Amino acid sequence: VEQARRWLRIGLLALPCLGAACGQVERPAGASGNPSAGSNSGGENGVAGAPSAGATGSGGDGIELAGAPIYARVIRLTNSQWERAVADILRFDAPANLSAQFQSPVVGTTDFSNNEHVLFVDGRAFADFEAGAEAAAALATGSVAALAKVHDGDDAAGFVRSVGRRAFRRPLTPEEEATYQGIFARGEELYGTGFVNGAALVVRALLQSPHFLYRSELGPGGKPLNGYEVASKLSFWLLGTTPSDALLDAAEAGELDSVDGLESRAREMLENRAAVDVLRDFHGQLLRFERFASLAKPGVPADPHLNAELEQASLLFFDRILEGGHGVREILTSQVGFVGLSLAEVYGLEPPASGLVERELGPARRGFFMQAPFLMAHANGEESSPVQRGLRLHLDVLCGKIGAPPAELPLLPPSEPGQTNRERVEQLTASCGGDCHGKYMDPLGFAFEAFDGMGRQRDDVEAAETAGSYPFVDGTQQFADAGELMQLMADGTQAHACYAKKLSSYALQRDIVAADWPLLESLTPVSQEQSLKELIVALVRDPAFRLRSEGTP
Amino acid sequence: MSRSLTGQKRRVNRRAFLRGAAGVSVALPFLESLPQRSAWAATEEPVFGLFISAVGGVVAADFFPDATGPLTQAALRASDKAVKELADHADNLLFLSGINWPADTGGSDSHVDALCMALTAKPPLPIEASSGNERMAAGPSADAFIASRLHPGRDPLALYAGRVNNGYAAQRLSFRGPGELTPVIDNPYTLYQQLVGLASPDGGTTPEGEEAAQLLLESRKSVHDLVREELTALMGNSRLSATDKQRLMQHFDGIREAEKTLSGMGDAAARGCTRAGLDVTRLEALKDYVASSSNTEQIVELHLSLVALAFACNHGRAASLQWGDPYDSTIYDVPSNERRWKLAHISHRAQSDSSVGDDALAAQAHAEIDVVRMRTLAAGLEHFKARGLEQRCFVMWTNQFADGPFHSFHDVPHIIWGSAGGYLKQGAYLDAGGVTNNQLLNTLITAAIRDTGEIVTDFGQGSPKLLDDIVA
Repeated sequence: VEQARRWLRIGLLALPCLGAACGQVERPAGASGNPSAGSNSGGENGVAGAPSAGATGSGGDGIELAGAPIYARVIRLTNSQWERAVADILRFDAPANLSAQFQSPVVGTTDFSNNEHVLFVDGRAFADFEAGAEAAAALATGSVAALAKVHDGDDAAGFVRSVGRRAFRRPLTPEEEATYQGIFARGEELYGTGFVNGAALVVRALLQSPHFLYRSELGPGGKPLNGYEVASKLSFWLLGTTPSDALLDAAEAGELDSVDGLESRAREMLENRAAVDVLRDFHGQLLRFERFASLAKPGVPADPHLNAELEQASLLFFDRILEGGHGVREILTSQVGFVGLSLAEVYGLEPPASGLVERELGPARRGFFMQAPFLMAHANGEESSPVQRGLRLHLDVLCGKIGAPPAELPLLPPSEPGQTNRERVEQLTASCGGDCHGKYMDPLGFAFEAFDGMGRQRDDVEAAETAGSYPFVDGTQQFADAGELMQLMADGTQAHACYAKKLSSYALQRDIVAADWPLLESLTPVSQEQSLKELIVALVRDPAFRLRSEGTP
Repeated sequence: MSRSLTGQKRRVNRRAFLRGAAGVSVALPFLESLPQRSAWAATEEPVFGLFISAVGGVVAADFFPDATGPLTQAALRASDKAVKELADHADNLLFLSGINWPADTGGSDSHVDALCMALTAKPPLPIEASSGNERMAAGPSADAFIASRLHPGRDPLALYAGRVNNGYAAQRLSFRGPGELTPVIDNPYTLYQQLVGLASPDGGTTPEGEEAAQLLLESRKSVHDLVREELTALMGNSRLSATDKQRLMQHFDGIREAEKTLSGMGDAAARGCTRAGLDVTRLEALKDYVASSSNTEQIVELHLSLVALAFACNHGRAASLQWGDPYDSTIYDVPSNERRWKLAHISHRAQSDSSVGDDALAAQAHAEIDVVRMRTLAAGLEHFKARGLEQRCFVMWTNQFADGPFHSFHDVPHIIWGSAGGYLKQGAYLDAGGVTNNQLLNTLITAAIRDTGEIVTDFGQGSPKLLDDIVA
């Protein structure tokens, strides 16, 4: 663990020193903030105090920690969180899909679509939330039975108090109660006397209130979030929805004020199916599962089931990681995959009778990245694409930095007689200059040359086609093929640090920057040695999660 | 991405709210289309765009005037060309020659290929040559592109006049994206049902509709006032950063924008959003509609009357109409078609779907059919004119082909009605000079989305620029 921490420090320190386009990282503008105030690990000063000799001599290029967090005190709910929260507040049997036509956040500028940078309420979003609130109110008050589920009673004050608490994720103040009772009366004034008319307008107003639309952290900087705030933060992260009445009760009782109390609730949540769905979203965004739906292989007879099977196999793989008590090490090395009719053919296995089943794929395939979904998604038709595969590993799994590609990318030339695919790619990328291809992307991608663009294992691959090296934060390491590469990544520091960074970014809904190194230093060893659940618990316990960040001016 | 968290899409419309909360028991379908996207709140007046493609080509020599230049009602009336039927609209018309489809020739099925290119400005997606009728477009069509810019997630109004279930090839005009057709409405009665709650026959809104809309406005105002107060209080929290406050201010401004929209709703009737002018009898008669080989023109005119109403009521900003099947079997009752040939055969000048001839009587019938179709277009444009849409929309008409038997993709005739908010020239016949239709579509798209401030020059395939000649 100590060694891992040391290498991580070295990697972080080395970042600004790089001169090549790849790996060059500038210190983020917002990195001077200290989101982990109260942490016992040090913050920026800790980075500065890392051993400089090791930094310059390691060859490790570190993980990218660029970004400019806002440390927002008011973070708008995502569309998905809105949808689930509305369903829970109004006691729908299931989300009613009212947000299907809401404006989607801009993608591509942040790691995840729940980042604070892309969540705001402009005119378009306001109209979305207004229409959504009206439709939700119609559903909730559309029948006596539906309304009775929202509130078991017919008094305006009780309705405002109970539904308001669920919507605001805290008790309403007396002033707020009076205001919303006024809205209730206004509903009756406009639409006629009747509980349903008052209730409907209250629901519409609650669901458009900033106290519902934004999760807030309004306490003093560097201090723990209050019980209600941390309940919301925890529930929206791990379950994707608003806190339950029981969790609000726990907050009210002060049960979330202690780290252990918070951990206890987090562990409960991790046994909830909703947590699996949240982690599906996380991994889906991290590894771009949306590609599977539109993946096409020109010239290959269409398989109507393959696209769905690729996505489902990927989701099930990561479900198993979470539910089976596994972690990042297994993501990188597990020989278990999920196989349906189409993928059975790819893997040369007996097809299942129906659906997707868990299968041992054998020692030739270690981890998710040696399975068909990743290999097929990053390919040129039936041919492998070392550049695409290497790029994704470098960026998404190792958190390397890469410069912008040239304006006009040259096309891969046809193979010459006797030339391997690796030689063809090397011939092309040698002219690109810099380290992007030669040092980072291509060696990672070449390691997978034993698999073609359909994810099938090639039987004619030579050792020279897959061997390579990569400058990890632990130092440059040689590998013979993708299997060795995966083992190196599982045993090393960088993939775990990167995963911790990505998970933290998703959980905290902000960019993770150099100032967050104490958090990563704390989480990386957990990832190396323990399960994903334990990693999540460690993050929940960390000051970065529990404490209010200092914020920016 | 977040599919696992969102589940299946199901739209709950706003009609449900009005029944539940307002206590209004009548159906008010049109309230679903009240502007959620603040089209009326924009600085620029919203522009609406309808794209039409007829099928079968035209008799070029008898279609447009012999020379380019200004268009006048008198000159058009005196002409012996098919477009003389549009003489009453001369002041609002732009005739365009010299527009080509992006491919020089069709693949295995030029009928399908042509329609796939008419609004996408891209050659269709490649597929096996033996199944050319299954070819699909390679990009979104202009109507879908506009819809995606102005009301994402909501399709353009895609209409069809013909036999959509003809078993061979049908809709190939409107595409959400490569290979993905926009769902079409072939029966005007279906669209009428979507719009029917809008207005009473005398042109005023129904009492129930007026009351419900008024209640909606007032209740929204109450909620807005409350939200504004809450935002103001929240922004006063000293712990918020400047960025937090900017975000909340943005929210605050969003309410103002929504309120502009609300105030615009009251002007709906003044903007021609009334039921006046609809041929309710003929629409009601289509309850049990079955497409036939004789009613294409009637269906087209009804569709056009409803698109005009939809635009006047801000029911989406873009629409398209495919005027006939790719191999159209409409039998036009014109003097030279006593043999009762279907349009596809007349166009081929031979009684064949797959080969062409030089039947002179068919050529004469084709010219007569062009006149009939221009008469239908003129009648349809009257509905747009009656709703005061000359300056607020454009209607683009074109054809699958430039001509009949040769199915040429070069010099395909285009007619544009309406100035699109003063953006387009009117009252002129211009030669675009043999450009690909991407330039025309770039220009029309830019006109349609002007309130966004975006200038589109890279739609489709071809030189990335506007067709400056048609810009006023």
